[in-house]
Amino acid sequence: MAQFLEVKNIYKNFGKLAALSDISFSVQEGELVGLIGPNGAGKTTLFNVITGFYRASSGQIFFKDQEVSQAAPNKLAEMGLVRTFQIPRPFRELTVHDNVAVGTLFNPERMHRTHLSPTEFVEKILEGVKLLPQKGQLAGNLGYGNLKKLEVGRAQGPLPDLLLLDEPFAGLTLIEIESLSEILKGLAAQGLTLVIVEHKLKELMKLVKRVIVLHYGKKIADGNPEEIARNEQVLKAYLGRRWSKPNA
Amino acid sequence: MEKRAGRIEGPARNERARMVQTVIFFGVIWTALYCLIAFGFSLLFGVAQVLNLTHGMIIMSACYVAFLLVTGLNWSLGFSLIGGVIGSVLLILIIYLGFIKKLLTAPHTSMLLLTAGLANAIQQIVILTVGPQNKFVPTMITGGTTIFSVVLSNQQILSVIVAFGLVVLLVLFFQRTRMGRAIRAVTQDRSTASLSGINAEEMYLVTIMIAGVLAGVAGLLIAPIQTVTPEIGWEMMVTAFTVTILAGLGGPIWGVVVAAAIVAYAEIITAFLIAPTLKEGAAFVIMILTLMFRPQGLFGKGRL
Amino acid sequence: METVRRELFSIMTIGILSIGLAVVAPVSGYDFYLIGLLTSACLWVIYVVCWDLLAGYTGMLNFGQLLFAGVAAYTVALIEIHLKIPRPLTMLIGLLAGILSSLLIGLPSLRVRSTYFALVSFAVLLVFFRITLTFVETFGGDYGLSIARVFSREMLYYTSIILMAATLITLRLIVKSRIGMALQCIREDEETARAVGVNIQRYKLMACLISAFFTSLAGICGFYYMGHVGPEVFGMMGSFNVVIMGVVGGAGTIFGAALGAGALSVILEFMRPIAEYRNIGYALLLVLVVMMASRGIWGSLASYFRK
Repeated sequence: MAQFLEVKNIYKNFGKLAALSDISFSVQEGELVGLIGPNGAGKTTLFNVITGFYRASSGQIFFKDQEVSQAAPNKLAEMGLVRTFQIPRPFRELTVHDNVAVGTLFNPERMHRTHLSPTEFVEKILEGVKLLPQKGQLAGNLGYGNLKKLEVGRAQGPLPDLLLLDEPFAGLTLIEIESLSEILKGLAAQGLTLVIVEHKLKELMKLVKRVIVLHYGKKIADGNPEEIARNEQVLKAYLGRRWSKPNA
Repeated sequence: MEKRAGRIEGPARNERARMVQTVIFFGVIWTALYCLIAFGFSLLFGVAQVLNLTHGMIIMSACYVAFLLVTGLNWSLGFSLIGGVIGSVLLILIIYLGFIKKLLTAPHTSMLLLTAGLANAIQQIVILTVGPQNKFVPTMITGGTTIFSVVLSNQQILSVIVAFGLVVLLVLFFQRTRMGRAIRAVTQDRSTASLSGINAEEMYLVTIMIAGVLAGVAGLLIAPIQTVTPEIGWEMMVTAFTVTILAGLGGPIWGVVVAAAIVAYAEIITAFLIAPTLKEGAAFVIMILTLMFRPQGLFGKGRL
Repeated sequence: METVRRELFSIMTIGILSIGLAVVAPVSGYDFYLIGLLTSACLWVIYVVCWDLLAGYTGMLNFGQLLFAGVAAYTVALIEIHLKIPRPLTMLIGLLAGILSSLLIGLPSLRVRSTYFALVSFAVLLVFFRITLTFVETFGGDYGLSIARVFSREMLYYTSIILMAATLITLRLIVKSRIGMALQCIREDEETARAVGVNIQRYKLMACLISAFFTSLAGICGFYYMGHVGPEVFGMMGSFNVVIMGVVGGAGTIFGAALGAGALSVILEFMRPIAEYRNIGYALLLVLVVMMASRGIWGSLASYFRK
């Protein structure tokens, strides 16, 4: 049986700059994976390639046994692969409710499986991300913290099986991060597969069961949080040579 | 000459050679002019991210100002030219400071609507003051020169020299001078540039004034060699846009020259072979093809 | 359909207004001037509302809305003059021509930002203007093409009202449906829209074709009413007036656009004697509205009340 998400030998070049080199990994259904790496390591680029916003220079991507290397983002959403954006991009002139509802409208086959009416479904999502009270407000009026939550909510509209989150905690206070972490844990418990890019390592490590590390476009480590925290290469990448020897 | 069936001889062959040469030389002339126009337009497009639909109108205004100054006020040619350029710079400053600046944070559509409205207003004001008939602007220098059996007016030659000269000056300015490099820095990343101590606002103003000068000079060079009509504002706009996207944003400066040449020659050949009034059709076809098959232009990098 | 049920109120409003308009003619004794004015106003409403679908809802600013009408009208004119085929077929061909012309603007703009759409629309208009003036024998040059009156003024008057009602109702339903949602998302943020499953290309094309459909019908109606079509239909002013009416009335709302069209088209007629000043005035009005109240009159009122 092939993997849920399989990334095979992905290369991405921008002119002479090799943003991604020979990235390969797979994700099983139901996993909670973190993707970390110093700035410029290529995490968002990898996201963009997987989700169809960039085309890889070479390599392949498989989702649910189908090759999706050339697929457009909306096709991927139909198949169940959705992403969020690091800087929130809501539909400003639409209400919070409608922001989530959009995803439901364009994936009707997936909607049928829930046996809920669209409105019920949207409200359930909003409740999950704790935005139900704001459902009638224009998204453009929300504060930053709520916008980040809306990103997660909106991404659930198309009923994804795999959710890729790009720095969901960026710019949030510790309390907001706690809150969002709980929400994400809840989603994982419902069976959603999550891949999360993050810089806030401590909070991320508490959340995920597996971590993949990128550095200068290459994969340098892949394991559970404890292993990664001790991994010499990872420490060197983040802290420099002097601090890379782990404590005894 | 006797006519022999099946062979083109004598005058007919000379005629054809002359036509080809005319096309080539006219192409050079218009390449130079289109370069000027496209540069002025893409400066604002690239630096201020503003799609300034009034650019064509500013060019047109310069033409009309020159016309007015020469025929109406009987100023000498030299002063009329300076007056025309100053007028353009003033006009573009008014447009920017009075209108565009207020809307920099608004969505792109607002800016388009704004500049379209302004362009239209300018066109109507000009028609109102000067009248909708075609105008002829007298040439700056008279007489003609013959090169390779093609007769060119000295005016046309002057236009080419000035246009190309200005382009060269521009290139040098942007690549060698401090201010030029500062402007390029602001184009690429406004906030980082200001961290280096560059006053972005000042640079914007300088860029705008340069664009104004370019538009003004372009208008003044075009006016004597082509009939001035109220439509040329929009024609120039289409040309500026086509050349700019054909070259592509963020590309090297000579990319604009190549693109200008392609558009100029396409138009001239269309004018010769099909009909002079359809020469915009050539630009239009190029625009469509570029957008459909190579949206980033020939030399452009990245952002669409 | 659920949308129809929800929109029953607006549909009825449109219906009542239309009947009201239709009644004006017999009541006023079939005054030629009045009928002409109202027919023209109805057609303007159609143009502006269709423009709004593209510009207000989808974010594709179209400076050449009348292109579709012009192509349809010229096609019908040419067929009427040169061929002897049943009139319904003539109109159908005209309609098809108008719809196809929308692809000239739509297809190139699919891959690039919607702002480029604006300039392409300018350019297409300019080219068609030139074409009609170049091939004088075919298109009649400055004089355009004329035919003898085929339908009565009254009949065309009623037709234009029905057409306007149909356009308003259809567009209102579309805008409140899933398609309308997709278009608005495209306007707001194309990338995000794709990320949640919206097929951008498909919906952009759909908007173009729908907009062209009703605009072409209106163009054909206008042609039969005037008995004439000329190059001015491809001129800047006509399409620009569409933009002004849409923006001033309220881009992004069907009723706002209709309101703008109705009001400004009537004013347009009355200001005909001072045409040059009128044009400047309208252009400056656009600038004013864009700078002060970018949602137009209707839109500003709507957001005021929503707060």
